[in-house]
This record gives sequence, structure tokens and C-alpha cells, in this order.
Amino acid sequence: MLRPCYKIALTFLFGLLLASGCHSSAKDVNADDPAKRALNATVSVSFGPDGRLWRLIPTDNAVFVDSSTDNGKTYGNPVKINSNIQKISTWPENPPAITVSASGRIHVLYYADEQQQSTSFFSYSDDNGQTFSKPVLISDHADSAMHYMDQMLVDNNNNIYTFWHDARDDRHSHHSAAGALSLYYAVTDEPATAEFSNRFISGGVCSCCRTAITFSPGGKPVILVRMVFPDGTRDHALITMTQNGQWSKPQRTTHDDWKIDACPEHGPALSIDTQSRAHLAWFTLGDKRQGIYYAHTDDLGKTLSEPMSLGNTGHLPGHPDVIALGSRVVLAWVEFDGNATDIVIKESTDRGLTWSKDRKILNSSAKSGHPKLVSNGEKIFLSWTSNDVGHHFIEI
Amino acid sequence: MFLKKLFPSLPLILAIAFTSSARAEQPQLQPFAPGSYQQILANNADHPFMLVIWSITCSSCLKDMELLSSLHKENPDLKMIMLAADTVDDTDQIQQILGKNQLTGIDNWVFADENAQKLRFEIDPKWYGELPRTYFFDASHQRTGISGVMSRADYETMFAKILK
Repeated sequence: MLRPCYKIALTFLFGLLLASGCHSSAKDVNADDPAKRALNATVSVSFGPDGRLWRLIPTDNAVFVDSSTDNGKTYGNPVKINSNIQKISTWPENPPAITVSASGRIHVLYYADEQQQSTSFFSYSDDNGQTFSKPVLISDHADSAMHYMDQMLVDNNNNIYTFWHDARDDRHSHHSAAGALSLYYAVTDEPATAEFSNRFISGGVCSCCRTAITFSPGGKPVILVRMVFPDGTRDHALITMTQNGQWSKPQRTTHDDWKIDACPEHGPALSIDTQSRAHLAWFTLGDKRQGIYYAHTDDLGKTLSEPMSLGNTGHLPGHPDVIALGSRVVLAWVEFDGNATDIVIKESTDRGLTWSKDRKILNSSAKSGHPKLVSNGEKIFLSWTSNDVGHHFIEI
Repeated sequence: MFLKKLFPSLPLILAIAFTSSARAEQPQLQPFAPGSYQQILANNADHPFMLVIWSITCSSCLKDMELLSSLHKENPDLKMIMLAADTVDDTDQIQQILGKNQLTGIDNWVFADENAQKLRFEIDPKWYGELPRTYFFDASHQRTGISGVMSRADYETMFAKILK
């Protein structure tokens, strides 16, 4: 047992600690830029049809949207999405999602704790981001099953696709055999009705690894996901939506033979070029390969180019992203040397056949998020958040 | 910032405070900061031990707790140290899980640095952060690191190796 005087001393010390926390955050926060206090370095971005850059910024109790007309040099006033306080929950592997339709409607989806343990909330703006709808639940099992790892796509017909990892089929919850759960989605062209019919895509999905989703040139979603195959192997599969709206069976695409019952928190990346070549980047610690890799497939994962190892393997290269624009392909990933995190990029101008040397473009010794590559249709940009500087947005 | 000026040795004071309070009935978590890994090695010089790194958000880790609990009871001579790769803010949840699995009587730590990557690198520059991650140290502190859930037989093989 602690003696009372010791307790008092402890209370005093904790009081000081709290005071110092408030003090330093008050000093550090730039009131004009909520990205400086982004929760766990997770700022998400999306270009609108007019070239305006939109940001979604989660903080402890609220999410904000702001925008830039000069590719991230300056931003307008942030707009708060949730009028009620919510305990927002994001981490680099599970950032919130923002996407803007061809008609200019802005959609956001974010993970928060409210009443139920853990689920996600959807909101949108039809007035160019001046006001946002009251956040609503998408999951029809929100009171009992986790809904996280949010992804969102909007097609040219204003159909909004939301995707997430869902624990509803995991009857034994914390006792699941291998940390696997299901991938669900909902699609609607009328968000005002708040009707998001929840539909199953696949079971056997690694719960803690982000899923990568993009459109095929035909405008249908294509998914790259880390599976937990029945023998416990955590390699990747491609899942595609056919023209009649059905989902293909998962097509195993990577063959690294990583058999493990663990939480890697290290999901893949996917981009598809206009000639339907899917460019993939992923992490594995399999029997055959260890580290991060790039490869491409022209037949939706049935055959794969020889995987190319990325980065300085002595510096924990990880969390790769990939983007294709015309015949350009850019890769970005993080490396850590013991003190600082580097963002490293590599580029191809011939659809992933030959590659430039690695190039370090950003650096931080503070806590940071994962790199994200985005395009406005003409140029490629890198979005990255670190706690010291805030949000970085630079042209590649 | 004024705090550091007033109490340059605050981390030390806190470490002592946390260590002392570990004797209280409520399981206490020691803050794992830069230098803590070396401190653990020093505290256990010439003794074999097992370091289990886990997280409240790692489903594989939570599944493993029951087995860890019974292994701890069956092997009182083997020191078991647990380190939650979460944050000090998660203390309540960490303690709840440890309490439920009767793992409160051992050394328990929690990540306590803003940049968790630095802490992971200090433990093992080749570890990507996948969980659970378990290290088995023999008396001379030669270690084996294993990622993922292990079977009872796996543990017993490793115990035999480090205790011989």
C-alpha cells in the first residue's frame, strides 16, 4: 500500500504532468491549421472535379474539412463535421475517408466511439463544403460489431461506395481463430435517405490491415486485401466487382507464404492504369519474401510480374503506396533509421517495367502517418502527416 | 516546457513512483520510454526471462492471454515481463485485460513515448511491429524473437532452451 503522503506527492506530480500536457499543446497548436493537431497523424485528402484539394482532419473530439485552391499551399477555414462531441478514433493504418464526386458533392466517413464501442459515421456536403449533413451510421450492426478500416469511392454516376472491415460474422469476437473478419460494403446514389443496405463481400480478411480499393477503367471497384487463408497464410487476394454487380471469389495474387497468427497492421496498396494493369505494393514476412514489394498484373491477379523488393532493408521499409497516371507509376514508402522517418519514392515512366533510383523527399523525427499518393488527373502528389510539421502536401 | 526546468529528473521520479505503486493491489504499469529496454536488461542481469509485447487492439494477442496466464502459474521460476504497445491513455483497458487474465502480479509496462517507432527500434531494429512479439532471453541474454501466437509446445521448447 502507498502511504498517504506519497499519494499526495503522486497526485501533485500527475497534476503537473497534466498541466504540462495542456501547456505544450496550447503552445503547439496553430489555431488556423487543425492539421497541426491531427489525431495520430491521419489527415486524408481528395481532389474535387474543379481541382480543389479537400482535406479531412480528425482531432480528439471532432473531424474537420478544409480545402485549398493552390494545391495545398494555403487552406480556407476548416468546417466542423460533428456538432456533438464524439471520441474520434483513427491511427495510420485506419485513417478516415474523404471523396468528392464529379458533381462536387463531398463525402466523409470516419471511425468514432459513440454509445456502441466502435463504428463509423458518414456525412456529406452539397454546398461546396460550407455545411455538412448530420453524421449517420452506415452499419446496421453498429451496436454489436466493429465497423472500421473505412474506404470510399464515388463513380461517375454519383454512386457512393463505402467499404469497411466488419466483425459481425465473428461470433467469438476476441477468440477468433486468426484475427480474421469480413469485408462489407454499401452503395447508394442518394445519401439524403441515409439508407445504406449492408452487403457482404468476403470473409477471411485480416482484421488489422487496411484494404486497398480503386476503380477499374470500366468504373467497377477492385479490391486488394490481405486475407487469412484457411491454413493461416496471410497473403493477398484481388476481388473484383463484375459488370452485373456481383463480386468475384478472392483471387490469391501474392504467394509469399506468410503463415502467422499475428496482427501485422500493414495493408497493401493498389492502383489501376487506363489499360487495366493493376499496380500492387505490399508488405510480407513470408517464407519466400520479407519486406515491401511492387509487382503488376494484367489479368486481375492470376499472374503477377516478378515482385521487386523496395527500399533499404536495413531501415524497415514499410507502408508502401502506389499510384499510376498514364504511363507514370510512383511508389512511396517509409524508412526508419532509429531516429527519423524518411519518405522514399521511386518512379517508372513505362508502366512499371523500369524504375528510377530511390529518392528521399521528406523526413521527420516525430510521430508520423503513412504516405498517401493522390492525383488531380494531371500531376501526382504526396500527402503525409507528421506531428512536428503537420500536413505535408507536395508534388512528385 | 517549464516542467522540465523545474524537475529535470521527472522521468526518474515518475519511474520510481510507478515502480513503487506496483506493490499496490491495482496492477500498475511502468512507462516504457527510451532507455527502458536497457533498464529491463539491467534489472534482470544474469537471469533468463520472457518479454511479451502485446496490445489491447491485437486480437491475436488477446487470444494468447489465457495460455500466458497458465504458463505463468506453471513456471513460477521463469520471469515473465509484459509490455503493452499502446499508450498511457489506454491504462484502464490494459489493466482490465491483465486483471481478467490474472497477469497483474508480474512486471507490466506500457509504451510511453509519442513516437512508438523509436521504442520498437530500440528493442529490435529488425522488428516491423507485428504483434504479439515475444522474446526469450537466456541467462546471458542471448535472445530469440518470435512473432505471432505460439502453441504451448512452442513455449515449452523455448523455456527449456533458455532455462538450461
